[in-house]
Amino acid sequence: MALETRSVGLDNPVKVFFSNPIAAIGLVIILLFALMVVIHPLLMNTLWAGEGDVYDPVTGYDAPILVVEVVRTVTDPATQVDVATARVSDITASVGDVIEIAVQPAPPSGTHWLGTDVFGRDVFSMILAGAWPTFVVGLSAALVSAAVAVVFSISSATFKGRVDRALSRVSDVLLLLPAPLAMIVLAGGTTGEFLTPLNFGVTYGVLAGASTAAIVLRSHALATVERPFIDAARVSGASGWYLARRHLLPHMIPLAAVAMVSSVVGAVVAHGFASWLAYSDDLSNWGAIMFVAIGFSALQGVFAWNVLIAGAAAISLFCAGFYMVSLGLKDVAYRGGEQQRTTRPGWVRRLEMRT
Amino acid sequence: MARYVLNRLLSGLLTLFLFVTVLFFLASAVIPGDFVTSLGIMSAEQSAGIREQLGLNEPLYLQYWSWLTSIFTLSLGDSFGRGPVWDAVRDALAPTMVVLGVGLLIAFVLGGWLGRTAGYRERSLFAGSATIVAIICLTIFPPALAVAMEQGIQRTAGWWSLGEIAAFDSELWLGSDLSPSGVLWRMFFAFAITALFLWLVETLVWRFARRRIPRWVFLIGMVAVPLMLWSQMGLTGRVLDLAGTMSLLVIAVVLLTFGEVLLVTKAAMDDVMLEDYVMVARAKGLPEHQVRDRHAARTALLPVLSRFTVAIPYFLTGLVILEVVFGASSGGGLQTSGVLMRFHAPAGLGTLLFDSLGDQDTPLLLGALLVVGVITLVLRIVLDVLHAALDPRIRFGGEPNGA
Repeated sequence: MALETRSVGLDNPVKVFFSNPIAAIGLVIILLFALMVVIHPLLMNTLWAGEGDVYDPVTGYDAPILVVEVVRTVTDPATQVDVATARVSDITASVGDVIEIAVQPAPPSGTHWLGTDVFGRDVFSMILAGAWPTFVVGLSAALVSAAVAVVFSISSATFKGRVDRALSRVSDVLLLLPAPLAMIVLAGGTTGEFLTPLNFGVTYGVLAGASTAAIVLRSHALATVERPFIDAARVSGASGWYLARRHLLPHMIPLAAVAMVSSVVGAVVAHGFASWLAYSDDLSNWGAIMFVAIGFSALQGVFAWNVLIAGAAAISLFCAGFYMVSLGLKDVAYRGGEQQRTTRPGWVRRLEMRT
Repeated sequence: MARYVLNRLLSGLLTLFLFVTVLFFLASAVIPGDFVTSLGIMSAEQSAGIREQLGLNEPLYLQYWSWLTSIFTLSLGDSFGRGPVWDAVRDALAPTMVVLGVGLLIAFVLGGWLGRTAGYRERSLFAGSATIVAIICLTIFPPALAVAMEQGIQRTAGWWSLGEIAAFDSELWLGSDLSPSGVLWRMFFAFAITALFLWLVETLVWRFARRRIPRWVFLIGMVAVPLMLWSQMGLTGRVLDLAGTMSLLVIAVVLLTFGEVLLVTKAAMDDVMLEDYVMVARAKGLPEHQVRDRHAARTALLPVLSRFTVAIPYFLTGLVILEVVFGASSGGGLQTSGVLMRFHAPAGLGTLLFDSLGDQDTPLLLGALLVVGVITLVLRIVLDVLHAALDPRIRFGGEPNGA
């Protein structure tokens, strides 16, 4: 029997994934962030090593010195400064003096590609350094949530009845406590040491996996377990454990991947916001550098646009990358999956297609 | 149908009870110290006295019992710092409901329309750019969006400067005993009365004249009658003032949520367009807009609704984040710093949540989280019932799958 398909290679998950250009772009974005994790230590040890600790993401300091004249009303910002601003760096300054002020935050330049923040630290280096904690938060949340959701949904579909009712009740209850909100409250309620990026990710994963992800996966598992090939396996004497492992699990993987990706987005935004509110001890992540930029710019009267834009763009792009990948994975889950009713080897299926 | 709704409500009540229990014990287990430790340094006798007074010395199960009874009597107990929890929650609930309701409605209509058009013309420039804009809006970091909006409006300060739209018009509010949330609750009341009235008229006309009232009459009625009621109650000036202060928040909510609606609608449309009945509709020679709006879009609405049931807690979280960053206040206290000018929409749940977190005011925190849970639950039940009403398989006595 010849199966007519609308586009080529529907049985190949990789081809289905890359037939969506948005998914491919998303993968490139994630790879770029992974590259950032790798090159930061390399840069610190080679190119930036000779510069003292100018480029250190936490303790670095470098501020261009500007020689300016103190005046009452500023007409030329490049050579003049008003009294109030001058007294931030030199308390004895008065009108008519010529003083040196350190420009921080400094706008982007050749030595500092994204400028420096209010403490004179290199923003580019801080963004690079923030990639690793973000990956830890996102990936741990993704893995834990997928594991929890898969266990929940497969138990529901295999045992049904009481187990299913109990588990879906747990999901219903936890859904009322949105994971991002719960994590922000948790971060604010506990002292900072508990919420390392790893702990944050794992806790988020448990909450999100048992609620949102489990609800989505459960209905898919219940639909899968009704399909004829499960009955066939059961009739031929397969045990419940074998069914769950060999027949149900492969069908859950694409949707579990989609759920993983949305956990990444939620966890990263929640972690960024908790850091933005200074609820985390970690000072090198993207939320925390924005918190410092905004908090201190209110004191100095200069708004650190470069830090805000860089940090927000980093978080948003990171999430967008994962979201775009999830669109491709959805194609794999819903369209490619139709062709993969069985877990027979590829050559058998190709034979079937030909006849 | 009535049986389904009743079942759903009962199961919702059980879920709510379990949620309350989980919330209480989680909060007691997780939050270190208590309200007294946040008061600052004092002698051991003093703090013991205050603990005694607030009932913090009682065993956990007694505290749990008193919280349960306070929920059943709807008082939600007393907060440590600011009177009965229910009063604080009621004041915070009204602005949140307005912002979330109006924002989600706009996002749903806008995103649904864009997504339908984009899904219908799958490989076009419009579909591609709509998808990209939606992904940007969906993944933008909410606090950064809020700060950028604030700064943007402040820089282009013309007639629509933040100062003008942000702060309350003090002359309007100082001399009266009406608080912003009081006005908002009166607005809801007027809306509810109108809806009830129109429903009654519709039923009576159908019962005695066997005629349906056209839909545009309802739309005009739902706008005109509340406006009349508001001006009768003398609220018009205050309503306009509130609309001004809350508009920024509503715009931000729309920006954050319409992307999700667009993408889900588009994906659902993509799938539906390949179905056989769409081909049949075309083969019958129906005009394209009818194929799109009647045959495809109506079925595409179902997955959008089920996606919403899972996404609503996240929308709520986004709103909470926005509110905290915008620094909504209950009026009065000016928080203008040199750079970030705070705007003064009435304080909603987000502000309440973070204030109570800062004070370690556990009853207030629990109350706020409880209300977040109840909103989610109510919206979820409403969406489930809507889903059942739209899906012919469930409407005619089948079992809803999933959810």
